[in-house]
Amino acid sequence: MTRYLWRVIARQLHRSRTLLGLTVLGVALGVASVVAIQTLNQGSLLAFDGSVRAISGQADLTVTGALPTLPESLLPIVLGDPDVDGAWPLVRADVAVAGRPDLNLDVVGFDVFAPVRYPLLDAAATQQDPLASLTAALSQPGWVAVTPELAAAEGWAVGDTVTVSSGSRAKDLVIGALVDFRRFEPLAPRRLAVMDIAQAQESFGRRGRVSQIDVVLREGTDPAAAAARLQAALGPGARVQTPEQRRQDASGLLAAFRLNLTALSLISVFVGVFLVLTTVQASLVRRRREFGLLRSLGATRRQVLGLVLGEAAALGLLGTAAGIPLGWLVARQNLQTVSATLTSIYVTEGIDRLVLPPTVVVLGVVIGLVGALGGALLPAWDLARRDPSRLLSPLAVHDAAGRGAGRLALGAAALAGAGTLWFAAWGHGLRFGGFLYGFVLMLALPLLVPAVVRAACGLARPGGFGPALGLRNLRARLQTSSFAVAALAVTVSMMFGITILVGSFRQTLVTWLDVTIRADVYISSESWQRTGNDAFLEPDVLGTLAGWPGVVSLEEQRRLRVATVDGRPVWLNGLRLTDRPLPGVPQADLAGRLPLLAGSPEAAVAGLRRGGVLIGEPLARKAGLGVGDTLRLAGPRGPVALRIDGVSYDYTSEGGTAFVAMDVLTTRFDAAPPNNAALFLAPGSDVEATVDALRRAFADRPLVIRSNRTLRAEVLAIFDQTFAVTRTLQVMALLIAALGVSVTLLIQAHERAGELALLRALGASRRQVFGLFLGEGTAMGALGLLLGLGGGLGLAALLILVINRTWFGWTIRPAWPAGDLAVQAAVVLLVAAAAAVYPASRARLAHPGQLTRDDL
Amino acid sequence: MDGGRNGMKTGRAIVAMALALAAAAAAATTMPADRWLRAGPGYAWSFPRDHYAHPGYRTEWWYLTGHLDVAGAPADAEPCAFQFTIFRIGLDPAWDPAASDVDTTASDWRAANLIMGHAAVTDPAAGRHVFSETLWRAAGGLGGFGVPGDALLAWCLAPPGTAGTWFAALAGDTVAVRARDDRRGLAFDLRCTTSQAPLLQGPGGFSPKDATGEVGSLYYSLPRLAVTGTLRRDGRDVAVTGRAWLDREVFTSTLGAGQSGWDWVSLQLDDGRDLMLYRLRTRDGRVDFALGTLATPGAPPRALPAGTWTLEPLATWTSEATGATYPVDGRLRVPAEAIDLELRAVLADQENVSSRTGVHYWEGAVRAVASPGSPSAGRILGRGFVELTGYGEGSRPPV
Repeated sequence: MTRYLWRVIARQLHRSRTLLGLTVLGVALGVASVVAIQTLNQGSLLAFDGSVRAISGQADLTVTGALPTLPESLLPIVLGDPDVDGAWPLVRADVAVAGRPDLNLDVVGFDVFAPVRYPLLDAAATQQDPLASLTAALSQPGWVAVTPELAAAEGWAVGDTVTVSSGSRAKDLVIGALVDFRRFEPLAPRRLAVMDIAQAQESFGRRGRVSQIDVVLREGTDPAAAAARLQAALGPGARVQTPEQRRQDASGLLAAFRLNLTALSLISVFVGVFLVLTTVQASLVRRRREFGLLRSLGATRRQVLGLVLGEAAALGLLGTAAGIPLGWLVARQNLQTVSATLTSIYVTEGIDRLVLPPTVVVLGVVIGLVGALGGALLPAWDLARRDPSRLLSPLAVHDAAGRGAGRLALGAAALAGAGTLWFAAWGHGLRFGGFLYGFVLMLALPLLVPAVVRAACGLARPGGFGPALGLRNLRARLQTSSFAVAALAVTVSMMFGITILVGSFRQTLVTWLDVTIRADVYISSESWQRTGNDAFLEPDVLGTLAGWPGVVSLEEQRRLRVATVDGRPVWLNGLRLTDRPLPGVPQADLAGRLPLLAGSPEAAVAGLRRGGVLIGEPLARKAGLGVGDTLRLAGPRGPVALRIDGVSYDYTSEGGTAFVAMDVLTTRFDAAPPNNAALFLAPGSDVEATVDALRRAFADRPLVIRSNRTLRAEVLAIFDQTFAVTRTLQVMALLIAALGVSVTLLIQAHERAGELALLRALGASRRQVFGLFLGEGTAMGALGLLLGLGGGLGLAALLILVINRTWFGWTIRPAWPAGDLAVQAAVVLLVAAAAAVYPASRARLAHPGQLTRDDL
Repeated sequence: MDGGRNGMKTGRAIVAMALALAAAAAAATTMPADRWLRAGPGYAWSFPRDHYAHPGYRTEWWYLTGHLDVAGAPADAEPCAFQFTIFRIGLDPAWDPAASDVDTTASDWRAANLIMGHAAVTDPAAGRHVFSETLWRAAGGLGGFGVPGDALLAWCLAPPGTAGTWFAALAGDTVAVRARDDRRGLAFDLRCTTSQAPLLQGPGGFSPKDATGEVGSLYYSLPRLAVTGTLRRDGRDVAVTGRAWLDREVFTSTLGAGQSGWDWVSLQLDDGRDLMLYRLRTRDGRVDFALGTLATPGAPPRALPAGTWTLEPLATWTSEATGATYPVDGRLRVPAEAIDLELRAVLADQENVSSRTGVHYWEGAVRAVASPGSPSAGRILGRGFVELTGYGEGSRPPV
């Protein structure tokens, strides 16, 4: 039987090259979308891991601060702990490279005499004399070691000078050595750079402060117990964590982002399953006589079932074999944008190298096989249970499907109803409830397809040779066409759902920007990133800005990454509270710039004056806080309790954001100098001219000066970039659905050879036959659109009202991006029609001479 | 976790390697040795200034060794012995703050020196020699050196796992030292007071190390310090009294061409005489250069150049840890001074093995016993310390 199986598969492959090729491609696309997303998802975590392991791989514990830095005076306390075997401080600076807008170096300043294994002192890794490196690291100003990969990519050689900046401070670094972290940590980021701790503090203005203290414990020590004791010794200003805890923190930060992508990629798989279903179904219909014969010759049901599933598994494996490399390519294509999204919203570690984790390969194989077998199971079972005599008579299958349409529709209604009830009663309270509900709806939608197709096609009046005949044909072959329409419907649901979400979100963001971005000019530094680093503007810069002609008001902006006492990260912003409105610039009035969700602006401002806090919506939702509650933050000298006087819309972070009066930030959180500044100009000023003049004045400083308009455009560009990868997924799903249309029509062209010959004999032109198929394809597209529109609306509502609030905590005002939807609808129709072109061109070749007696 | 452990060891090995290279290079041309001051004749000594660090020279040490009687112990009990050494290792000859645009006030980690501490306690009754070490950059709250007028001569953090600091402090005629390593059960806190002026070793306090006179150190001793304080013994801090010897050497080049190590002896004889002897060996074991000083109360110190004394090995001991074979017992003869003594180690294993730098050497308490055939054969005539460096494959002195 096995030998037979392989022979059959080989023969089938040969005979139905096109059909199977398309199916394999469909499976490949489905597998590829999952592999791509999982590779990127893993990549984001692996990048964080790689960075942690390269820098702190030897540490059993890491001490960080309640603030981004902690006093170096804590080091002797750590070293004095009885279970500590070694400890060393690290000063880290995320610096921008001059002239390279997208390149940041992760500078790690460490004590070159600490007993820490950095490959800096390894002659083989550095290709330098270690002694020369050690001496130079201390004495040569700006000495830094970079990775060989980065040096090669940037064309840097030992001895070259590279200008970098942290905030408004520029610094010349000299490439002193190459340091190959990859020798110890394969996923070490290539943008790591190391220098001596003294030079790092001097270069980036960090005297007395370090970013972290890495700790090695005595062998046999329980890390948890040691961490607890160290925590007690160091006080509330420090946070002692194991590497695993740090990893979990990063993983938690990325959870929503990763889950959303995973869910989207699974839709492609779902669509792919329909494609397999169609093909297997068609293949079985075509070969029903063969199977009838096999059964008549004594093959058991089990053997026939095995044969069909074996074929499907082969299809799945072929698709997987193509899909995994394809997914890898797709991941690489999207690496830049996903990495940029990660660094602009979530973590400082971008992904600069992808690996294909073995788990993802296994996942790809499982998805490919399970998808193919899942698609084949139903038709295979249907075939196997049939009586051999019925298999030997034609067109039995479609009849059954036609009768089942009503039952399936009922099933769809029942499933959707049960899902809705479940969600209303329990599901909405569960973290994954929204996803499960969406999945149930996406399961129900295909079940509805046969009934809708039947009803819609029934509307076409008999007679004529135009699209009406095409529609009636769809109805006649309900089972095969239903699969294609279902695949389209699911795809369109996904496309429309996401398009409505993105459109609504974008509109919400624009409105929010209108309220919050009110100054005329914004000054930031090249190294400033939204994920945060200590990039400061120096006093001389602020002085120049404040005295600039036409500047009515300069607003300093400070943003500090802190955490609640239970470890939830919070971006704490300082707000300047002026006593009276500035004459002529009403837009500078703070109360008018607070996009409050709860509380009144006047009360909020009054609260801020009393030392209260405004919190962003995501923090309010995720931490369950509201007006009147207390926000407890970990301060450098212990917990800081702040009364919440308002909750504001906030789209700057999906984590936490909070706003306090500037003096609260400076007195209770030791905030360093401002990160950014905003200028309000006198009424009637030429904003762009002022920006140009400022840029000229600060030409030698690493500053980024933008007008209100430019800043807005950049914020929206980052927003759009965030959804770039979802567009790739939409395209992949649409391709799979289009393949479904092609496959369905190809099958029909084959099955209906006799009918077509008859039509031709009756006088239909080749063009008319071509048109018939094109019409069928377009009709499938239209039906898919119709169903998908409904599904898309439901999905959008779910995404906007449930999933976003649960996972991201943002309020999105529903909007109707009519233009985008219309374009996508047109694309779907076009793609469906295009998918029909090849089958149609095959069908038009039908010749009256192919008529057999059976067909008459 | 295991990876971390291995990494730690690798890291130490790497640092050790780097330091080994740094030390080896001190006399070589890769290091611009001319940027450092050279120890030479004619140095103008001034105390207490010269008790403090000499930043212009590459290396120096405060080297304190002594014998401690534990309060309440039987009169005939063998005393415990201790070593406390702080090494200053200059790092940065090329770096001139005045000529640099670096804002040196912008970091407290800017270091011109490493500080290395070695401490050891020999407890003959327990048959135990315990060694501990520290190695930090002399900056950033890890360690530092005082300037004349400061109470502290030098200080650094204790080894990881032990709170507090090691230090050497100066108050009048008293040098106070403290070392603690809780993990190895080593701790002492000692006040060492001298009643003598510093004894300059070598002509004018310049102690040559080879025949050229190019290599040598500025060298003085406080050979007979009275000690009181506490010593940790079996986990308890016990009161001790005793006698110690402080050596101070300041230099830029340790060894002459072709030299591989040295033997050094200090003896405090019961008749009041203090004897210091050293000889430098070549790799093949030949004595390349030798010199000594004998200080007799009420008389000027006398130099003991090569040929006036001999030190012959009587017994050797081979270390399991390092494979090095040390001549731990020896017969010392200074015929012109009627000295004929057997130096007997109070414990064979008094080897110091550094895990941070890979260095090993033998620093041991010895009894000076009258040689057989002499009138008082077998009687203990004094106590001292012997230092043996450069023994074993690839071995080198601590700095």
